[in-house]
Amino acid sequence: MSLMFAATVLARYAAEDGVWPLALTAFLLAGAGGALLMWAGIHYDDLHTTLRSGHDVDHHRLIKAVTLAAVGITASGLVLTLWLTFL
Amino acid sequence: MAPGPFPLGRPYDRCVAASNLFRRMIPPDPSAIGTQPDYRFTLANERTFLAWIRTSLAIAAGGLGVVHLLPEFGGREVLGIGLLALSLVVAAASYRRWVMLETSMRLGETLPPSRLPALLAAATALVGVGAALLLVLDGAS
Repeated sequence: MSLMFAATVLARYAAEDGVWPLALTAFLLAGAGGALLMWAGIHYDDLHTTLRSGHDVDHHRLIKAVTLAAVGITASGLVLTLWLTFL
Repeated sequence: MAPGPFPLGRPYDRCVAASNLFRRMIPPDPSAIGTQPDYRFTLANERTFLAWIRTSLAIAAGGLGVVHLLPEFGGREVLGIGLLALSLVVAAASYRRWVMLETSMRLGETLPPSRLPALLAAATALVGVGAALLLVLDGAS
């Protein structure tokens, strides 16, 4: 939900300033946040299967994906703001 | 520093140094190290990581909101850029912190200290004081 919120604010900001590629990317990231939320809801019970079977519960790939999305949003927002402010 | 094997020794050495720095900043996958700890600790570490990410995204949304939604406010660029830079640092550092804690738990070592909470507290206080100052100056002008 935080991802969707931050990406929506970034999409709106980029769209109003006419930076369409970034607005589209932010919009897709908001969609990715929604998809992640749906996936977590649908597969919530499946997470317990891993625990019951004694397998590793380390979600390294998902953590990497979430980090990349968060860093992508914050870096895009920073670059866009710097660009619009100083150029 | 010894020159590299390429004719352009210095740029090559710089590339190697940058690559080593990048590797140190982004540690490797911890699942290949040590043994699996109690799953409750792994999941607690994951929840902490997600809390840091939520914090980072909230700061980013705040920064974008300040820049975009307060067009009449004088110090909006400074405040917004500061918040966005802070959110970027928190997002990147939270992953590094997660990997370091996971690695320590898998190796049965003492958990490493982190400067992230102190950094966030100091930066938040600084941003708060800065925002108040800018608000007063903006109102006075």
